[in-house]
Amino acid sequence: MSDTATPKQVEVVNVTIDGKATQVPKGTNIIEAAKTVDIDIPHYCYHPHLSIAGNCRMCQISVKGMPKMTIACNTGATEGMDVSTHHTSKEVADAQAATLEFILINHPLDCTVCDQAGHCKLQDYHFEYNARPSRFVEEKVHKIKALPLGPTVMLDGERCIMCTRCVRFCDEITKTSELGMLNRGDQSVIAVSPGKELNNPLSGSVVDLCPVGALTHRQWRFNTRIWFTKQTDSICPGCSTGCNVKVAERDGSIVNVKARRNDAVNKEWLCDEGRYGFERFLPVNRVSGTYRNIVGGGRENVPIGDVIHNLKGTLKTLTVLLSPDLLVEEYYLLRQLLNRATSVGRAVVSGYKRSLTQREEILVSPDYASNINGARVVGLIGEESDGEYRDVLQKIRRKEIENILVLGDRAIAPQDIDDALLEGLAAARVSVGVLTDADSKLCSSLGMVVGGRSVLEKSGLLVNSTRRLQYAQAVVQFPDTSVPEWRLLGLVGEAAGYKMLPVNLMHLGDRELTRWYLGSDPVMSAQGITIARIKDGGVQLTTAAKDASVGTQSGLSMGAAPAA
Amino acid sequence: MTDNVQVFHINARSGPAKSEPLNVSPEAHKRAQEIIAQYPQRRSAVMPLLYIAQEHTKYITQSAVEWVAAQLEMPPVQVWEVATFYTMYYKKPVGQYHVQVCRTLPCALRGARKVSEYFHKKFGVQPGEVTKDGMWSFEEVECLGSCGTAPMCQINDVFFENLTDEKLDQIVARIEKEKPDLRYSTVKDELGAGLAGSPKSEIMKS
Repeated sequence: MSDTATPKQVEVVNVTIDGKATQVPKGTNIIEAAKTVDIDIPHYCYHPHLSIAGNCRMCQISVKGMPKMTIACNTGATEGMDVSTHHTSKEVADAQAATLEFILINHPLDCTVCDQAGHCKLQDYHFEYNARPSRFVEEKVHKIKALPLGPTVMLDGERCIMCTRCVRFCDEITKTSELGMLNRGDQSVIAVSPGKELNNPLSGSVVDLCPVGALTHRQWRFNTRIWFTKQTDSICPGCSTGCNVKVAERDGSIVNVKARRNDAVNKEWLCDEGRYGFERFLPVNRVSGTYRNIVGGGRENVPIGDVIHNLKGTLKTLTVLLSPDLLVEEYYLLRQLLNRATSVGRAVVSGYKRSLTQREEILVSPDYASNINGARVVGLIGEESDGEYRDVLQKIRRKEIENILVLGDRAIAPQDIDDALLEGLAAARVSVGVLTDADSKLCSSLGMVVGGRSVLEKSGLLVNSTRRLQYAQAVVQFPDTSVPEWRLLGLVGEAAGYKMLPVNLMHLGDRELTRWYLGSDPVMSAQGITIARIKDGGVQLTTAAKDASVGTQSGLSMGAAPAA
Repeated sequence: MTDNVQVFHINARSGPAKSEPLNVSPEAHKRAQEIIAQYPQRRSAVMPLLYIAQEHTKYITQSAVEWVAAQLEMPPVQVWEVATFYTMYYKKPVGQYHVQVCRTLPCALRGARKVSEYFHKKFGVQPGEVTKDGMWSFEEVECLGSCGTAPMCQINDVFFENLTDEKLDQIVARIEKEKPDLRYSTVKDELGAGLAGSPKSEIMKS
């Protein structure tokens, strides 16, 4: 008998696709096998993380020795298989063109009013694989239009091509089985389970999965054409799962959020809270410029130099409260600054724990702290940091802390803000905050407030719950007057005589900052990590990086440099 | 009757009809368990169980769907998918005698259209409607698998084949007079007696 502890050896087979030889594990489907030699086989119903349905017939291929064409998604690679795709076989190309024509027979071709236009697989494939005008002159089958499937998703029955990706997603991933395909033949239509609605924490993902315009977000219908937007590959700052997203922005507002495929993080799913709540990270009323709260009421604008002047003398005893969604670069910079100043103060990151329902656990992490692990990786805080944070809040309430720096809107969780805390902040000798939300109660309690940048306005590194280093790109243009946390830290450092950043801080951009960090942090530079590598799916940090932060007691002793 | 008759389809907006909870008879319940035991997976028994439910409710209601789903431990929507796929499961009330006229190609070529017109004129109702006395309803369906004897129709669960207007007159007159049992019972696993002196169906006589 074989030893069960040893993983079973997967047999590797030789496959030829369009004359290009490749080696894949036996049974790999031909769509995935073709990807290894950069051949793209068109498909609608196939999705790498869902079961095989094989109903769209778009991925047809010809296999030598098989009498008829077959579908690539449901054909497993075997030794010596010789595959021809549409690139080399006219028969296959003709079959795909014909399949596409059939799929389009009952499609309303209402691209001019369809939200999917511009990012639609029907459009893309039609141009690529058929590109002939429709020959269908008969009346099309009419089906239901604009049917709300639930609070988030709208169905257009006529646009649907019955790929059943949405049905399979609800059956296999969320296991809620809200959707089904009713009737048969050309009358088939997607519908919700009798008496139910499509309402699960991941429901918006079915819109991402829909290759056509049949399912659309109720929140974002008819708001803009996709080609008028600026689309950015970024990371969702909602929790520490760090889902990969593509965000469409127009005129400063978020008009669409799509999941981006990353098999190591979110596959291709995204939770509704992250997706539809993306804009919550942009302040409704924002703090602009820098001001000082006058004792007895009122505020006056002050130059940033005043803030720096106030802070530079406090570094040795400074207590810093940080948002759990600042950049790794910022945590690192702060750690360096406190090290250089041989500070006996402390840095704490607010915890933002939350409880999850069983369905949320599929994707969501039990926190609102997208980068708390970033602070751990650079050694700013320890593994169990919540007690430290609570301790600091208590000390502020008892007015025992003199010098306080608050970095980011979520440095103090809303539920932790009470009158005693606000009084404690107001009573401190120096209290400075970098904030964006002008409606925050902190704005009138802190001595000085600097208008910062929201998490959606900064590009930089995040570390997710599994310690995967990812690059979050700014999705919205920041206001010129805003001062990000890292710039304030850099300026304070310079004023105190610790020059850490290489170039003129006022001209330093997010990208240069990241590059500086990757070269400067021994953990990163030892592994030769580059921005390009991180952007390509992220970098899983090794246990060495993890060990670097373990054992560094948060805030207690900042004397030691982070272990390499 | 309009020219373009659609086979009755469920609109995505409307689910099965709301109804009282389904109380199946003890022998139906026993039969259901026997059928389920025949398959390696419970869900394989969805079609016979839908028939059993339909014997009780006359058509597939919400509670029928829920009863089948509960018996088979599968999501209700998947039971509803099966029920809407097949025309032999009725999705709304039908008459005591429900006529399904095959309209697929062989029957269409052999005069299915005329058969439909016959019932339309005879009963004075549109496809999918029930006559006022609750006796009759009719609809057009896709292939019933009796192309060799086209045109044909199915009344409840019995085939009537090689139809002509004269033959239809006789069939309707005899059914109205004799009130025969034309249903197949899944619970009893047998077809009703049918018209007296007639084979249950021309293709079922063997």
